[in-house]
Amino acid sequence: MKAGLEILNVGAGHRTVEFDPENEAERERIGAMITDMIKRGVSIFVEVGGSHVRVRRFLSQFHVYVIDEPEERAAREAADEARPRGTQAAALCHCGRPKRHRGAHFKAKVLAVQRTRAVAVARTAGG
Amino acid sequence: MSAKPECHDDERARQTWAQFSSALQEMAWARGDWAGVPMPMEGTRLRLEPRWPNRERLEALYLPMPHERKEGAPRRADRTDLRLRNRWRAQRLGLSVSLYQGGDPECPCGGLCAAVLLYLGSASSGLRARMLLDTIGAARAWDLKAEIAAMGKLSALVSDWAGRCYWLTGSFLETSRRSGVTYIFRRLRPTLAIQATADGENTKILAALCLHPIGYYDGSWAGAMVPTDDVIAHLLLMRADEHRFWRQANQHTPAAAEAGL
Repeated sequence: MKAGLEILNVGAGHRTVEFDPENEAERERIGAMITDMIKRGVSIFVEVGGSHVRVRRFLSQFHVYVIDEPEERAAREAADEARPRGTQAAALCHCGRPKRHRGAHFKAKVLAVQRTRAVAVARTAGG
Repeated sequence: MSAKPECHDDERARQTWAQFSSALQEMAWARGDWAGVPMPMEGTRLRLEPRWPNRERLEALYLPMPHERKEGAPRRADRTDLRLRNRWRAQRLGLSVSLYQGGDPECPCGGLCAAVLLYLGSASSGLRARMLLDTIGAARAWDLKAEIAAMGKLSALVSDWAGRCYWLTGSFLETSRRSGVTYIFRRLRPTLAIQATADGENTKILAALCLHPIGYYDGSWAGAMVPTDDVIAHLLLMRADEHRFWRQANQHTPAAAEAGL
C-alpha cells in the first residue's frame, strides 16, 4: 500500500495529496495543509495494523502524526467496557484529574507522514 | 430548420451544471476548503454541520423547482421563520410529532399564537416514498466519476468479500472489534447497528445511525458528498472512534422512516 493523504471531497470523491519528502518546500506545504485541516475540524484517520486510528495531533516541525499508543488504547477501552454504566473511572491521570479528562495525557505514538497512509474526513452532521 | 430535440437541451444544461460544479470545487480547493463545497439543489435545502463556513447562507439558499417558479405557486420551503426544535415518534399512535418555534412577533398576541406549532405527521409509507424520490433527485448534485473513485477507495479499505457485497448489493457487514456490535453499512441509507439477543438465537437492531460529512439534503437520505464517501466516513469513524460515531450520528429507531427500512 502506498503512503499518502486522501481527502474525501464533494467534487472528486477523494483527492490524493502526494509529495516528495526530500523536497523541503513540499514538506512545508503539506505540513501547512494538514495543520489547517486539523484547525478546521477535519478528522484524519491513519492505517495502523490493519485497522484505523484517529490522529490526535499533528506536529508540523517533525512532520509526524500523533496517535494513541494502540496497546494503551485497547486496555483503556477494555476497562471502559468493564466499568458499570454511569460510574467514573477509578484511576486518575498523572496530573490528578480523572483518567479521561479533556486533553488527557495518554501514551502517544508518532507516525511519519511520508510513511503513513491516511484518509481525511470533513466535519460530520447527523442526518 | 427543425427545433433541436429536448434531450439535447437537457444534456447541454447538465454539462453546464457539471462544469459549474467542477469549477466551484477547484475554487474551494484553492482557498483551503479541503472537502469542497456542497452543491445547492432544486427543491431541497442543504443542512450543514453547524460550524461549517457560510453555513447560514448555504442553508438559506433555496432553488425553486420549475413548477414553483410561477407567480403564486406554493413552495415547499417558504416557511423559513419556523425552526424545528424537536421531533419524536409516538409509537402507539403511529405518528411523528414535530415541534417548531417561530411566529410573528408583530402579532397582537405577542407572537405566542404561532410561537409553538405542533405538527403531527403520519409516519407512513408516504414519507418514505417522498424521501426516496428526493434521494433520487439529489443524484443531480453528484459526479459519477467521483462515486466510482469512492467505490474504488472503499474496496481498498474492506475485505474482498465485503467489497464484492457492496458492489453487488450496496451494503456490507463489519463487526466492531471493540464492542462486538455488527454494522450494516448501506449506500444512501443510515448504517444499521445490530446485536445478538441475550439468548443468542436472534438479532435486534439497536439503531439506524445517520451521519454525513459536511451535510445533507433535507428530507432525503442523500449527503453532500457522493453516497460511497458517506459510507467511507461511517466505516472509518466506526473503526477509529466508535463512541464518537454514535455521538455524532443521528440515532433513528428502526420504525422511523428516516431509518430507511
